[in-house]
Amino acid sequence: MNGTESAAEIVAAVKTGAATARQVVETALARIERHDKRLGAFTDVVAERALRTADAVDAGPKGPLAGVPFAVKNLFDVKDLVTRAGSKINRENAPAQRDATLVTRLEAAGAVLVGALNMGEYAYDFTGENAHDGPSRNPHDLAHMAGGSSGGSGSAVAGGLVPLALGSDTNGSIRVPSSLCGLFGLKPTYGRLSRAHTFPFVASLDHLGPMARTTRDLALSYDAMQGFDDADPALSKRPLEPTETRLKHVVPAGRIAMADGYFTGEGVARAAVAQVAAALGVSRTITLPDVPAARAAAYLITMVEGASLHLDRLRKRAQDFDPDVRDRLLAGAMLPGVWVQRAQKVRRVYRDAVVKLFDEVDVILAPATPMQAPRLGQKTALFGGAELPVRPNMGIFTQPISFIGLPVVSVPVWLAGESLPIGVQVIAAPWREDIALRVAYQLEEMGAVRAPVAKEFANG
Amino acid sequence: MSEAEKLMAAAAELLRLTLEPDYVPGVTAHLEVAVKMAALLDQVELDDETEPAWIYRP
Repeated sequence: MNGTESAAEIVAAVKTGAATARQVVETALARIERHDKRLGAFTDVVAERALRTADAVDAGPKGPLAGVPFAVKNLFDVKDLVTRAGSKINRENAPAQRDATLVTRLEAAGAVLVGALNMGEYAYDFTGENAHDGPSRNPHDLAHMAGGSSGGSGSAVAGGLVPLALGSDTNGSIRVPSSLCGLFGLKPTYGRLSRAHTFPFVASLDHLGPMARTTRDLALSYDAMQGFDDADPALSKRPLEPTETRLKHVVPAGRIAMADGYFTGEGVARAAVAQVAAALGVSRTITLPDVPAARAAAYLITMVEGASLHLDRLRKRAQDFDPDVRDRLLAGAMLPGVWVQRAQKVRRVYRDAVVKLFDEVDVILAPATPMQAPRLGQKTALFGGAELPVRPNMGIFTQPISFIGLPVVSVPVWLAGESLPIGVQVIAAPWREDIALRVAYQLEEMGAVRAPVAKEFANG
Repeated sequence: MSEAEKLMAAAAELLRLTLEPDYVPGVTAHLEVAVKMAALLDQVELDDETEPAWIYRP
């Protein structure tokens, strides 16, 4: 094993005795040591804890993620680490007293936490550039962005440092780095996975989920993380709904459509959706109503809820924020309340209209990002012919979907002649993560999407 | 002074926020985007009975 295996391959090796969890984790730690200086993915490595956990896995029963090294965006609580949430300010806090619920669940399934990952400050970011810790770099081209705000998660998995990472997604922060780094990323239904003991951003929009290099790895980890947790007030009490054993159930092409109108996209974004649709034999299109208003509503709710969360820090420590984040939050603090109330009403109306579309189809395809990874430091790009800031606009296609909490798998597409990947969103009805994962698996099996470790990091 | 700048000056005082001069261009730009976003909300017809989508369970 060279450390670039999938989670499923690692589990098989550990269960059959072909490798021990300790060997797997030592290999992962060595790769982090060797490569992370160039990637900027990790902010903390918990080597001692990881080796101790690996030894416990080797000594005990082998769970469904036995021996799988994983890492988490640094807004997840990790016992004895400071939960910095990408900020300068929060790193002055005391270390966490316990692990986030999802960390506990993955370790209960046999996975081994190896560290915490770089992220955009307070998750208000689509670039993966952190003003305090430096950028997470895109392993497929180190001069380009990893995407954000779960940039370290994208960089670590695409660079083959770990097969699995957790991120958060408020407006696209799992799907954007998955698209830019060429990974599979799952943003589950709002209320599906516990957010307990993580640092929030916009409580009414925050989701957590996994990023990986195969659909099966997404499903294995997602299945291990499900379950009620009364420490998250938004969590559903739905029963466990395992997905991994059902991945091979094909979703009929007649039940899949491409989103048109707002979601048509341009250039590589449009081509990526067309490539995925062609592989699935899909030509049907479907129109989501009122999407610009939905995106606007998500945008405003984010500004105001984010500002509310940080108001005291804005009063006392404004100079210690990343200026790009600070200015958006300050503006959010000043918005009229009636806008937010109207935005929440738009959310209700838009949700009802979109959910009705799932009477006609099971899956809607849409671009994940409007373009491939911009260069690090790039401030503006062409969006629909207009030059606009990169930071808020990389999420134009993800924001209207997470706004109403739909489950999405971002799948990685490599277009002919292109050196960077781009993602396509596979969107399903609420609580049907299984369907989105099945379509992603179908595409992966036919070779239409793939998430290789970046060439520069593929060998040792 | 633009509408956004007037709003910013008044709101900062009410909220006890200090706006250093170098913050002003960025905050103004974000407020101007927000004003455009809010205008988009008006394009959706809402009944008086429409419930907002807050998550709250008693």
